[in-house]
Amino acid sequence: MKIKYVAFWLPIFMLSMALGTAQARIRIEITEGQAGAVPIAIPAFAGESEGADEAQNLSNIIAQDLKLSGRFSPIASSLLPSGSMATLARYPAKEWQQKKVENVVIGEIKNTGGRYQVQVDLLDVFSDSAAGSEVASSDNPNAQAVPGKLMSKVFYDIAPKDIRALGHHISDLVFEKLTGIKGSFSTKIAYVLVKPYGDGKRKEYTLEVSDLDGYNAKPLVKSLEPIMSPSWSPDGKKIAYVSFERKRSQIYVLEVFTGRREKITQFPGINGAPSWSPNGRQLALVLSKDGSPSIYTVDLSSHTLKRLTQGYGIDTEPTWDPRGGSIFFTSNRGGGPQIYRTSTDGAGKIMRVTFKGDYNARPSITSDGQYLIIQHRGDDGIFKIAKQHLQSGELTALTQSGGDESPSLSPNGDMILYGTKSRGQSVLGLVSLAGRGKLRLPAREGMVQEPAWSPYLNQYN
Amino acid sequence: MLTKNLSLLFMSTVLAVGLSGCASKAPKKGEKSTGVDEVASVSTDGAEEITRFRGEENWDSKTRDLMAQRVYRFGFDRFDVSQEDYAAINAHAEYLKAHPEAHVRIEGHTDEKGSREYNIGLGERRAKAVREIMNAKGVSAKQYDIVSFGQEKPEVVGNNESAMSANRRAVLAYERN
Repeated sequence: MKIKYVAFWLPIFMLSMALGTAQARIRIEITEGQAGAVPIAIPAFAGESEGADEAQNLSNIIAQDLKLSGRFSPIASSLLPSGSMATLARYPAKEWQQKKVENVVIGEIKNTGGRYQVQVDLLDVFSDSAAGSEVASSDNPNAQAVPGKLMSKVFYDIAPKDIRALGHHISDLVFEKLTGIKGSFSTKIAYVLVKPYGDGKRKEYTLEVSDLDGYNAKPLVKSLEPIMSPSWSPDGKKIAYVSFERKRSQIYVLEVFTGRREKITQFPGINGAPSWSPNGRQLALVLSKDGSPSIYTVDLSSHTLKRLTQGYGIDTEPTWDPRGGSIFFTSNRGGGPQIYRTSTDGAGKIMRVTFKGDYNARPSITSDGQYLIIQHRGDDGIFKIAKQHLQSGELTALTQSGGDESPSLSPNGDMILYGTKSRGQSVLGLVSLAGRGKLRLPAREGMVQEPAWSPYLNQYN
Repeated sequence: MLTKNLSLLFMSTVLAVGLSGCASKAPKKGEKSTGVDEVASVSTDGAEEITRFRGEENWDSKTRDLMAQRVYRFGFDRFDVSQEDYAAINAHAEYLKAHPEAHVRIEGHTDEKGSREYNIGLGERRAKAVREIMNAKGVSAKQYDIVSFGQEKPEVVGNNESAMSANRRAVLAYERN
């Protein structure tokens, strides 16, 4: 049996973010059935006090995360057995199977003088070899009552305030164990919150960072003029964004820890769409100082600019191929907006990438380099999020709600956050790359737009 | 640590209210492009708008009317100024020529359809269409700046056609700094 004993350290990143309240500024609504999602049982953990603050309920946090992924459909805990961890560990696999689940997550929390000791097991209750479990064998000679097979066992000793971070960490472990894909639940999202200000004629724009589920929201910058296009540095320490605070566009790079920021460009005309290079040393961005909006790169240490595109059209929304070498961007050089690609040294030929539909914009590339994610207007005239397989050119719409924009990929490339509309409000949507598990993340106040998913933040552990 | 840049906020808020007189200086230029700041909280420093003009008490009613027209609508997917707006833009061009110290921000805006950054590009084309008329009239390039807000500052919120056509616009905003 594998046993991991881990003193769980709160990531430094989260320490710096812990000033805000734990209140979620965004809440989650499921808008579509979880077709194709695998049922999983996560009974309430022993020691979780009933009726306690839901935000502190570890089994809920894990169930919510797994549901977010679109790959799992957790069964309501009211339909599941309850009891001590030892009792649930002995619960017969056959009984679990009748609930149509293949996997069960059981756990318990002990309050030991101001700290929590947390133990969590992941069980396989589907395989016929379930009898192989060490927990099971001695207590269950009766084959009818063979319990699930233990896949993973973890212990933690944490401060109570770290309970949500631990929940996301466990979700990552369970997700990876069951799918083979690294979990993206311990990540952050940045977005722009827009609220009425003063007499309501003006608006207040806030660049915020929160957990993926909306908790631990923390404002980084506020302005009475628009804020746009947040983009995370590959190390997760900085965010580049566009600010109109001087009624001109400017590009800033903000350090998430310290709040210090550096102005990168404020040329006449457009300063827009910053995007970090995979090595973190350059930004691709859009400037119109020399005429039409064109793609440039800026070296962040020398501040040297290099122009990559020319011409009379609009070139915008550069994004780097994660494997380096090329930049994809939106351009109307052929008439309407389509996606093109060029080499990062500006020397190569510019190639058109999208051909289906009269409007394709806001490109990004999955970490494995296989798919292009775009805002696409279908033949029905509706804006949706779509993926295009780069090798075959096959295009698949992932959303249908209309007004969908600003897609942002999870670091594991398995999920996409995007901006959408719900009852006239700007909210965030979440969909898996497979098109499953459409979720909506409405703000409790104001409009939320332009989500940007952080990279993995493990380096802060 | 968040530090509020309150003094600037306060100053510009005060300046924004009921100012008379003419736009004076171009906004600050040539700031260090690598300046490092603490994060500002609400910051509205920057060029504030004025709505009264030097010498306006001597205008005839036609000039008054033309100078009051500072928002120009555009058709769907159109980037050319409507014929009916030329007279107003020409009047503003004459004013700028007669008052070399005046400065105007030529803003371009779009409706909410499509991608935000692409709309920044489209909005700039509307602002540039107004600029071309100014240029043809001989207004000094020092007296204006082009700024596209794309879809970020709708005049009317909503996704019906009337809201969208109201939002496809260029705006002249006289500034003082």
